[in-house]
Amino acid sequence: MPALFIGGAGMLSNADIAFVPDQYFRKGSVMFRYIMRRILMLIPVLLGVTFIVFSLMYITPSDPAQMMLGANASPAAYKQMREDMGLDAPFIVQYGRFLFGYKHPVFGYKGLLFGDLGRSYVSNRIIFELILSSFPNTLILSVGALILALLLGIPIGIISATKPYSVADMVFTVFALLGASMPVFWIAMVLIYTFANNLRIFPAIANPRDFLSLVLPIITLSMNSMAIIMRMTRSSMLDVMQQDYIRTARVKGMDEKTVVFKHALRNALIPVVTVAGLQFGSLLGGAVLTEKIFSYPGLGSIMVDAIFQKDTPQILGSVCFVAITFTVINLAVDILYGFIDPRIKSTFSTKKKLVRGNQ
Amino acid sequence: MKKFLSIVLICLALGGVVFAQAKKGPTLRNRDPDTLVFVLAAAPQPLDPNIYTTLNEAQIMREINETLIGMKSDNTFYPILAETIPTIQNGLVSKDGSVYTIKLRKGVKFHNGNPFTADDVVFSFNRILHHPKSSSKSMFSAVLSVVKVDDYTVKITFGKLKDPEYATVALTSWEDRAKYMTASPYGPALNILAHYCSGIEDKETVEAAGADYGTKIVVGTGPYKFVSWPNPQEVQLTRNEAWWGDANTVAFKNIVFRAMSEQPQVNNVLITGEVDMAFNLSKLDIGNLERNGLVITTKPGVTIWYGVFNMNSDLVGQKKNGKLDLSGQYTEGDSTHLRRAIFYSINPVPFIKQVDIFNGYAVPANQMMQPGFLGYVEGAPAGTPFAEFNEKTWYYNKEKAKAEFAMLSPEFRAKLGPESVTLVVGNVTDRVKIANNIKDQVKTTLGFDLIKVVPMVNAQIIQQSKTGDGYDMVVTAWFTPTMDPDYTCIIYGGDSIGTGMNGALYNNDIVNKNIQIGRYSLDRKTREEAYIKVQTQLMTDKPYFPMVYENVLFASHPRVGNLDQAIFKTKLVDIHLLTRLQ
Amino acid sequence: MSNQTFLRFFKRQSKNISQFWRQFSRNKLAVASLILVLIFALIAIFADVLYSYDFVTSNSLENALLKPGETGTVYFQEKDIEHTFILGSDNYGRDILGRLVHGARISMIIGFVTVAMAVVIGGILGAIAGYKGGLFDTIIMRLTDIILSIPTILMSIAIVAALGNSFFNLLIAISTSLIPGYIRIVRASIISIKDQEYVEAARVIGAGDFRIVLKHILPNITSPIIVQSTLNVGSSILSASWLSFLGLGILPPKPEWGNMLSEAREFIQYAPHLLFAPGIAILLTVLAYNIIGDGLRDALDPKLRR
Repeated sequence: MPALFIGGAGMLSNADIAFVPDQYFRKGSVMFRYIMRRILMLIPVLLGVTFIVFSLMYITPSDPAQMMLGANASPAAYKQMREDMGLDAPFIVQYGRFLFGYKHPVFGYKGLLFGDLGRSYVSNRIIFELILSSFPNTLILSVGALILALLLGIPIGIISATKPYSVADMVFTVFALLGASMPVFWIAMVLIYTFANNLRIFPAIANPRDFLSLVLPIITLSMNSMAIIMRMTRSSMLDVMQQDYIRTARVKGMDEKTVVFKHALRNALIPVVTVAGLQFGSLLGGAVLTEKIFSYPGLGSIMVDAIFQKDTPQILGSVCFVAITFTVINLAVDILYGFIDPRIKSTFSTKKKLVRGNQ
Repeated sequence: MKKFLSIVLICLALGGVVFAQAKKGPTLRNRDPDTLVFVLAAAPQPLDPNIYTTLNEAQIMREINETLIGMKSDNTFYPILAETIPTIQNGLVSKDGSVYTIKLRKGVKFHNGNPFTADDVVFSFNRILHHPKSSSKSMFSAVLSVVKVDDYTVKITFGKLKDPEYATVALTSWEDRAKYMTASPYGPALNILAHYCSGIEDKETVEAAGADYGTKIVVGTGPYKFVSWPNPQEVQLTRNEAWWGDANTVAFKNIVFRAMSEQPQVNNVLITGEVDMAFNLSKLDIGNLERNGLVITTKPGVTIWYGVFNMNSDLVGQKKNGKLDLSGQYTEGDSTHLRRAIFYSINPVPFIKQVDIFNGYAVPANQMMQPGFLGYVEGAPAGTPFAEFNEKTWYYNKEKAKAEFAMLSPEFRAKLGPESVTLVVGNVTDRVKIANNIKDQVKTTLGFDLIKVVPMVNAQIIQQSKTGDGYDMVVTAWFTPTMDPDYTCIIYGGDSIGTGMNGALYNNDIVNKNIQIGRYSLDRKTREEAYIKVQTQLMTDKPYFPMVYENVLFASHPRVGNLDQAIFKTKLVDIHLLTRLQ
Repeated sequence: MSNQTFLRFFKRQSKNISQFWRQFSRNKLAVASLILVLIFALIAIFADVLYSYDFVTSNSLENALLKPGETGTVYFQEKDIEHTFILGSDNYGRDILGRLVHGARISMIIGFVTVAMAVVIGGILGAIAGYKGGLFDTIIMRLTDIILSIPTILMSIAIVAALGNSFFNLLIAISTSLIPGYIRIVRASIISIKDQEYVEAARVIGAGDFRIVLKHILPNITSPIIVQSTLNVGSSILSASWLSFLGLGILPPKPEWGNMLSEAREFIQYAPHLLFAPGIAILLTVLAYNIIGDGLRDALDPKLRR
């Protein structure tokens, strides 16, 4: 499987520019089989994800039975509740129930394999219904942040790359990196303090139905991605600008603007598009903090609350959903990569050593 | 270089914007003036009062589902869905005080048009007591039966277990109750009938909605009806124009409840005027809220912050030959002295003043009962353990603390290393701060860093408190939503050992007996005397250190009026009583 | 393994190092950042000389919330000391500069230890996956996919929530999310190198696995790992700060930049200096690491050498 993205706060190394979905190109026409393989590979990954998340939730010291019973529940009622919720069963039995279903008139469900985890312990809503209704909100935020990151990151990256190591390059680099160097909640607080409290331009509570209120959270969320896209554009541009055909174009006497925008940019943007796609995946997961500060009703806040309240079915459902989304986005990016760059096959075979050696 | 300069200039301009101070009052920009936006501390659970009990949904539900009896902000009862308050004088309470006959208000309709009848009352109480998910079973456990007499009359019988042994039996039906319980007068009867959990639900709707009741379908008789719940953090209600009360007196046409867990953010949105009312604000800078034109309302509350000494602990407990020794008289051992030494080393008054904890919105507590409740001992009467208390220094007494500490036997003293007493505290900033302050105070007073603060998830503290293992002290708070001392007694009643609420595992026969007297009698005088005995015994044994009574604190938009009537000591607001000033 | 191999390895490296430094020092910003990081490192190392730890963790409520530059009397170690609060004091009357200085130490430890853990674990797993291939490779790569499919933030929250709030668990939580990156880097390099002629030649003349790894593979993976680690030190410090924000970070009174910042967020209106001091410390440090990382990448990238 090709390198997809590197964890952490989304910092990427050059290794990622060079990734190429090898199977795809070796087999060429068997794209369909490639996609099917990727989707099949999702199954063990999802099983692993549920197992890890379930294990973590299992040892989390919260107690949904106690929470549901409220203060001063008698030991008898507590015992009854644990039995009803199936919390007294051994670890492996409980995990099995999440996969294959649990029979109980109040707390029962069909199981993750059948797409039903019943109702949340806390909100008593149908788990996947809640996920599907809050996911679009997170999506709005992430798409907005990605667009903003591209709009700012690419031009800044180009400017920096055209004059590497100049003052302008330095200033822009610092500017872009600033966003990736501040804790998200700090950025958000300063933004709220300035634009909501003092200037009264944007509201401090975000709401998916009101565009104006989305401005601050989108800026907050886009900071990190903008830095990554800017750096990727810059290094990719620098790389392309040294290619022979750019030199040829320059020698031929083309003016710098044409060289940069007509010849270099098109090729330099290919890895940027890939990174942008991958960033989109991490924005979906990274929106948690932004959502929390702006009290925005997204999937992120639901997941964090679920972890703290040990709402195991809710968190299992949500994490599986996110994992599937991640995989689908990554797959789409891989396929897209092949489409935008038809030359890639030949480039790949000739430049193989160079690309690999750099990894 | 020019570019560089211009960038520096832009940065400076941005900096100027950041620090620009613009003092404007809260506005209603982009907001419907007919809508009141109310901030909740967390996402509400389903709006099903019979089953869910936390404060967030309670605030919403009390506007939707009405109770038989209501309580005003001055703690007096008034009838809501009942026609009159039942008393022995008007004959609606039986001579022995156990049976309450409730005449129901006629002509009341639920929001969907269904009539309100005795069936709904029986149905609702059955749900509270016997629904597997119900979280108020224990609060209503003294209800023996609820019987329909005719369409507009119900008989509620209170009782107690025939034998305390039956506490281990889970009562899951009316038949179980009849089998294991016997009729008895019940002191807090009206209080629990006025509690929001006994809000009456429509039998027909609830049965038809099944598990979706509370999230998608919500029906009541109250002044507001449910509109939608677009996401977990937001609930919308609108005025019930067909309310049996006068809908014209309800000032706000719509209410939007908004959950916000970030306290500094709550202050921000109050200042900008995006919300109208909030209580989970950052108390730190109330002055700033006032300067920005917000109205601050504060009242004495019913939350008591206290500390627990684990009686099962070898260091500060009360054990003899490895067994709990608390039957009235006990021998004073090393652990007794250490407990007292810690007790007298603590002074909660500085926490009250501390800006980021209570910031003045609390008063020092002299006992384990909230002021104004039955059996609360006022001040520091001589000849009682309360005499050592005073408003400025609480029970703090450096000499006494040192003297008690000096009384420790050398062997015991040698066992005490630094940080050997474990103080467990909920994993919440405020609580950790208080715990660290206590650690500091003990260190300063005794000259020895005795206490180790261990933050834990609340559920874990409850779990450990069931058996009393793994901790010596706890710092926590208790909230009494029924406004009756009986509910506060849960903390120290011997019968709540094992539930995790009695974290001290305190089990004193004198206290237990008087709690029973207070619980199962109707006479105010008898109850009061019993509760005073309880408090006196508690402050003699010192298994707890009451610290402060926290005030209720609300900030609201200047357009909201009648706050004094509408805000309750329980942090709840009767939103239909609010008025519009602008 | 003989010392000679190590010596040869380093001798060859030193030639590269001077070439690398020439390249790196062209980037003035990166050099400035390096100096800044070194200063912070010195501060962290000598924190105890500058301020005593007990002094910055003990409360003195009468000095609470002093403005920068104000002076107060602190009762410390049984006597009253006159003390100037250069950056002011926090809500407990503790010296902010002192806490920043000690916070530097804890933040640096978080940054370095998490990355070191991730490099070691990720490196070993990646090497096994790449070198052994087959079943090992499949299992390790699927594990990587699993970890990558869970959003970083959630994974860290879940780990801390499950294991409890302690310094060590925080380190585990942060470094878990870094591991997959190293597995991938190391594995990819090893796969691309292990079949090359000179490695095969070395194997034919009887070189052991360890020798091959050290002599042929290590030099090839050091540069991407160095770049990645530098960037990750910064991101770890950030992770610690938002874990504090969610109430899962290092608990006060221990000074750490993240918890100072998250504690201070209530004071944004009342005492903004509380918010800006740790905020700027985090900002500068993370920024410096990011710039150095970029600089290193440019300097180590053969394609960009001119």
